[in-house]
Amino acid sequence: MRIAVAGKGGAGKTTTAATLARLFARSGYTVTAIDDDPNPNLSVALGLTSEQTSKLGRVSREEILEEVKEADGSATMHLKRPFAEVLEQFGVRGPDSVGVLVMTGLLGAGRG
Amino acid sequence: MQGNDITVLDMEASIEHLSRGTLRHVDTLLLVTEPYYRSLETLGRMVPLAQDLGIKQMYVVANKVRGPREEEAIRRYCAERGVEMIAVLPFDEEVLEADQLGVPILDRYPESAYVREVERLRERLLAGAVKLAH
Repeated sequence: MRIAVAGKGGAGKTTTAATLARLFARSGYTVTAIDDDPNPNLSVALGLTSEQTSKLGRVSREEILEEVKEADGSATMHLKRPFAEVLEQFGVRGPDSVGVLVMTGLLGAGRG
Repeated sequence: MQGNDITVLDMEASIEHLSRGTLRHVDTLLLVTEPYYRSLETLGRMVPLAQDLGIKQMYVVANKVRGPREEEAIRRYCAERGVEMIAVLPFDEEVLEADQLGVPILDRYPESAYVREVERLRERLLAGAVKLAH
């Protein structure tokens, strides 16, 4: 399941996303939490230590995603390399083993 | 995809910039809203956008709800727009306190009403995913 959490700033989406991620992890799922917010604070809400937070690399979407044109002219994004590898290089594992990535602009509209 | 993998994406506040292609990576969209006019107004803008994008499952999560009157207001709003309200998370002083301390509510107050309701949200999301798969 790939869940996106959206809402007006201050509505509590980050707290909800973080709590949900950890509860899924506790019930046996392999969970990756991705922060796509320009003011990333998901790591705090997840309970990462400041040392872990400082290790978080900012992944550009070009680094892991490539755009593929479909036959009908639409464009879709595909992972360039295995997600586990990306997590290993740029992310950290926080409480309840939730993998954390910061990836500003991940779902931005097709620029160009 | 992989049945045991879950990705949770904390999105930018605005979803105006979402495109059809990129959203193929998302199968469930949670729209978190407060029971206030401006928050509901934002919700009202996002729902048709998300519907246009063809997201498989879209749910409203009512947050910071202080009682039945507020819950009912959001429920009515959702019903008018044809979107399901999947959870009602209570206004909880313990969430504010944890937030101020910079610690997760789950660690500070694991028994809080808020955490209990997020757990119910988790269960309902799983139930919805099972429904979708069959």
